[in-house]
Amino acid sequence: MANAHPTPILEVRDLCVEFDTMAGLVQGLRGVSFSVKPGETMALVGESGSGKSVTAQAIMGLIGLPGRISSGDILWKGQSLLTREGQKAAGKLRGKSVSMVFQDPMTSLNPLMTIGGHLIEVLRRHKGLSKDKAFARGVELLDAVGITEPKRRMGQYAHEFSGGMRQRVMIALAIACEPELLIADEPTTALDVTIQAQVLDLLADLQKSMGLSIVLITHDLGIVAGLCEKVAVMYAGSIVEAGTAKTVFDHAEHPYTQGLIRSTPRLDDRRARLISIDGAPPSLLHPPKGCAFQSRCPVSSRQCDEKPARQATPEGGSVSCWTPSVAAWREPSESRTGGQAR
Amino acid sequence: MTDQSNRFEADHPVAADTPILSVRGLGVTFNGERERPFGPSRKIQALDNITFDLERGKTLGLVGESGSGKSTLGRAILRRLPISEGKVIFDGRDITNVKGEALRRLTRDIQLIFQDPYTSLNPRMKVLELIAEPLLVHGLVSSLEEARDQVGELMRLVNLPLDALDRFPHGFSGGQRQRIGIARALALKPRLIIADEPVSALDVSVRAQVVNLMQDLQQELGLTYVFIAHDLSVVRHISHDIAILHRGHMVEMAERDALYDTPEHPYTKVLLSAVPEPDPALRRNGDCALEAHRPPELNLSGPGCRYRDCCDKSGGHCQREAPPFAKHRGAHWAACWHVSAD
Repeated sequence: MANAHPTPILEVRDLCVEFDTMAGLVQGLRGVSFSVKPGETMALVGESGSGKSVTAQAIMGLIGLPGRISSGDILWKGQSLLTREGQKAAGKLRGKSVSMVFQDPMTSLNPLMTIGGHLIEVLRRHKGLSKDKAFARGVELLDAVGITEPKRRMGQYAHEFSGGMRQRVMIALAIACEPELLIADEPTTALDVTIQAQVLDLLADLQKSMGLSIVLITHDLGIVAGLCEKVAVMYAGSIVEAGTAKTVFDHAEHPYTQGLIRSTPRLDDRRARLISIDGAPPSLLHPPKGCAFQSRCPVSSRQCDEKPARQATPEGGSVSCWTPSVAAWREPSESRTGGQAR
Repeated sequence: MTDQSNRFEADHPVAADTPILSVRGLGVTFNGERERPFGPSRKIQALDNITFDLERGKTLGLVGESGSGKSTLGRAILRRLPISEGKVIFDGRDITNVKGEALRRLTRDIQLIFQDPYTSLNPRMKVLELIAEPLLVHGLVSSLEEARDQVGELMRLVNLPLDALDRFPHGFSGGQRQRIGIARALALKPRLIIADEPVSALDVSVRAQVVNLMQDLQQELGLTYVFIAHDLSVVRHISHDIAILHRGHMVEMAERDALYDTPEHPYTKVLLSAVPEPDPALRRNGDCALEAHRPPELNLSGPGCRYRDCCDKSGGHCQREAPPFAKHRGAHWAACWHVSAD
């Protein structure tokens, strides 16, 4: 969606997050930068441990001890959220202008509180509505996220809802204060495929009708295309490639992105074997000095001992690689290599 | 290496083309909550009239959503659940009612791979102890040291480094842990392996490694798999045949490509359309079938097709009588009145 608004509502600049653990200093985020414009949808894609959830927690101010933001900045409409005044403003912002949908709808709702209770609490705290008005608005919200018989459902508890319905309640809670930015942290991972498709459709509808900006955090490249225009691929605490969903999918520059796209199983795929990326991501306790993907990269060279700088791609995205746009992976041969490859 | 003496043997010679596993009219019933104190408990029919054959060295993909009974079926084959009707025939011998020592010996031939490699391995046991445990339990070795060579061989099979033997599972990544789980399942040289969502908890790039390993092991050791999954994307690559479960019933079973190319049952079509498409150019646009779809509820009572309340083709016949699970077009089975039999 092209928007006349030139300033991004959210900007993350060179963000670093560290966790002080018994084993040593774990570098959870190692310089993450991106921005979200009003009405824009962006996906942060990465494997477990790549730092995508830490990014969301940092934006929401949820990094607690032993973690801390060691450098970088988070800006909301140009104002830093990390300065002293910024932190005060941020408290009002979070939950109202920026809200979050968590991965697990089973554990994110209070089992001793009715669904209506959750909604009324949010509406009274942030919007100062009276109890009756908050109840009426709560009914509207449940209706908006496709829950049938919303009035009766207001009085029910979380255990009376199925997984998909609970996630709809979480979304209703998140949009209760008409936020400008919604951060969805793996919103469909705990759900069945058919329900996943419904929840994604719901998010897409809300995005259109409310003009929301959405940051979707996911490990599944498959669900990105249906919802997001922009994609940032994370690996070992940094963004290795960013661009529009179309360019990243059609012209992946970074070997990791290429590998990720190829290892995502597809229905129209008749190959007998899936393509895998050998090895595992590096430990962030002692991250490699050079490119973090070096040890798993099929086209790595001497140059990769040094950390590659972020550079623009011809398609308007950006990539951190010394040899971008090289086709890194050979087509797999149909013959099987046997179990003892290494 | 292993003595065949106390294996589970059929009482009569088995022809080579007998299916290794035949399930005939299998039903599993659970006791639900009581209607009144001390009253009879409600019966929940978790599986009803399941019938299929599985040939040696082949893989059956078992697909369904949560609550469809796919894990129940796996556990019923392992004889970990009371079977209320029907028969399970393993290698030509009826194992529905085996008990005691015979059941114990049976576990050497049928093993399980668990879904979550993080909770299925005892964190206080070293890799050597974990993999040697089944050998010790079945009295095939008398001490850990005696098992070391055999365990080393298993580690080679699943591509784990030998120096991992004396480490604890917390030091391994998800993919490596799942390899430990596979090595543990292989220790007793089973002929049939039930893999209950073995890759659902793994990252995309690692998922492919584990699926490929399972395929290599199948070729090398002539294993037969029942591969349980909750969506249709990964099973395509490993399965020879695929069966779809819905509310405890098998609704469709066919050879892999036939199922993907010409699905017969409306529920299979819904599952296929729910798999997210990673390519933005091919992103799906509004499926009417998905809109009507609701999660399975086990307590739908009365005669008639169990899918009737979600189906857009549902007619009078579907309300009155449940469709039989019948053969259409060669080896394509489906339970739907709207499929033309020939």
